[in-house]
Amino acid sequence: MRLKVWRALAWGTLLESLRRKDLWVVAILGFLIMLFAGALGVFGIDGLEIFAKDLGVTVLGGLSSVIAVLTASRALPDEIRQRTLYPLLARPISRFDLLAGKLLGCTLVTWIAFAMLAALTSLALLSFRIPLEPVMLQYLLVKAMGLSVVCAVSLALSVYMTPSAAATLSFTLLFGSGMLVRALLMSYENASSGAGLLYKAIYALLPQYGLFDLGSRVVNRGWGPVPFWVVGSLAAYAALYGLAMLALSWHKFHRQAV
Amino acid sequence: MRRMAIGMLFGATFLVGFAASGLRETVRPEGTQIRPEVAEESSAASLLGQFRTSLSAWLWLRTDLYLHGGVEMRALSVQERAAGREGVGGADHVHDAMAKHDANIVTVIPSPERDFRGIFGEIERQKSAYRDMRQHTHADPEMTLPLFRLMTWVDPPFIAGWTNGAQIMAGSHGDEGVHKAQRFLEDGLKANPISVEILTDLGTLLVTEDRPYEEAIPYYRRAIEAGKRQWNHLGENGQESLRFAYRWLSLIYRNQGSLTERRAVAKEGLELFPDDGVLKRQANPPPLILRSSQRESDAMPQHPEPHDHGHDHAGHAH
Repeated sequence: MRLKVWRALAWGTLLESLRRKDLWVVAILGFLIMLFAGALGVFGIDGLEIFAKDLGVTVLGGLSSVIAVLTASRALPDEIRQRTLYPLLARPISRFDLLAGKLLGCTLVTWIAFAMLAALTSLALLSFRIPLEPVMLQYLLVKAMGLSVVCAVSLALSVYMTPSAAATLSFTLLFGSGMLVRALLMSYENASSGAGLLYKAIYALLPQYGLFDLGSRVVNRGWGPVPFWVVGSLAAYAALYGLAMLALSWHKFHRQAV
Repeated sequence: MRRMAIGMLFGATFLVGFAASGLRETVRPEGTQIRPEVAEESSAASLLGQFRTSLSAWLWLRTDLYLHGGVEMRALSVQERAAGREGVGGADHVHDAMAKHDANIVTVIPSPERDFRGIFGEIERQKSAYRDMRQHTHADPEMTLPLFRLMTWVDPPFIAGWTNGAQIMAGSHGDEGVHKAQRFLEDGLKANPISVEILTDLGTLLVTEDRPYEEAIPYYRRAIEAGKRQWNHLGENGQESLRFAYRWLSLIYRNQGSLTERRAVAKEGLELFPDDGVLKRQANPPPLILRSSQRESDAMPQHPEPHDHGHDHAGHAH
């Protein structure tokens, strides 16, 4: 029963995204990828294969993450602003169902956009006769998991703050958490035991988006696929962190006056 | 009273702004290597300049990354060095600069014994391009040549792009590589006519490739002139290049038998680099009796060696 409700809500989110022409943005971004690839082709790709692949994977990861944040941080506030939330809540569905359905819908929209961009990037690379290795499939799978975590975090933040603030904070976490983790790793060795504990706590709380990026193995030569236990662990982490964010959203939303 | 205070504040602000233009010569003296003035008057040009600088810096970092097979490296922090931590070092020390670089870098992702993250650290090591880089080797530098061309095309004032790209070119494809490197550096010189690094590297390229000394001397002369003019604004690399220009030039004069010029150049160099062992020896040659005993090993070497590894190698031919 619940699955049916979540599926219906997710489908509604996807249709809403199509109505808002969000996927047009993806198409334009894809066009820009092709345009940039064309410019690189004019300059000459000989010897720049690794760089072209690096650029493709970086742009693909960056754009799909941006789409995830923008989609998820607006999903719920838009329903409230357009007053379409009331007829939804008048139906026999719980607020948790609403949040779960929205999260599934946002993840679905992001995955479709990601698939479109990945297809265009692969096309651009193949047009330069740059081969794609099996690890690329793992990259796509793991990145898709990571995008679901981005959606969960953005949705949770949008429950606690305005859509703009949620989007800003999501972007800060998206692009800044990696740097913060590096800083924690560097500082840990010389830190006191108290500070060390604090670093560990901060690390545990931060969403580890960087773990879902296999880009460096895709780009550079001589790196094969990652072991399956790594993919499995990342799937478990994504599920756990997503559930935690969902619980956090529900904690605020279930008693929020709308 | 309040109005008067506000008026005075505005007046002071105006005066500071007005007088600030007088500092122009202090902060940007004539002759220093500066981006085109158009960047100061056009915000679009300024933005473009910043964009290309950022892009070339990013390309530079990517080049380093590809040379290390995708393994991200970082420099040791001051605290780490103070705590006695050592870099990973390299196994293919073909160049002093690279050896020095490798002695001060470690992997960005820490090794298991230095990582507090447990399974998360292990996942990161498994999912990334990571390996133990102690005594590592580098990928074929030739693969990075297109990137050097790209970064200097994007950002012509990026000196390190010209000099490092030329070094890699000269080290591959024999004579053809040397010619390519020379053309590359000359292109760099057109974009940066007073660059001490490019001028010195051009001279050194010619000397070390068995070309007549007369071809290299003008470049060293120009490097020294440019270096003296910009002395207060030369960075570490610029100063090192200037030091090398003095050393090479004095050694060339020694090999040509022009003892007066040799001493004059070395003495001039010592004014800027008073502790330089090679220049000291060139400025104050040993007594005649000692020189005659050295003559066999010293006699007209093909290439003088300007390096100073803590002791004097001026007479060493390689």
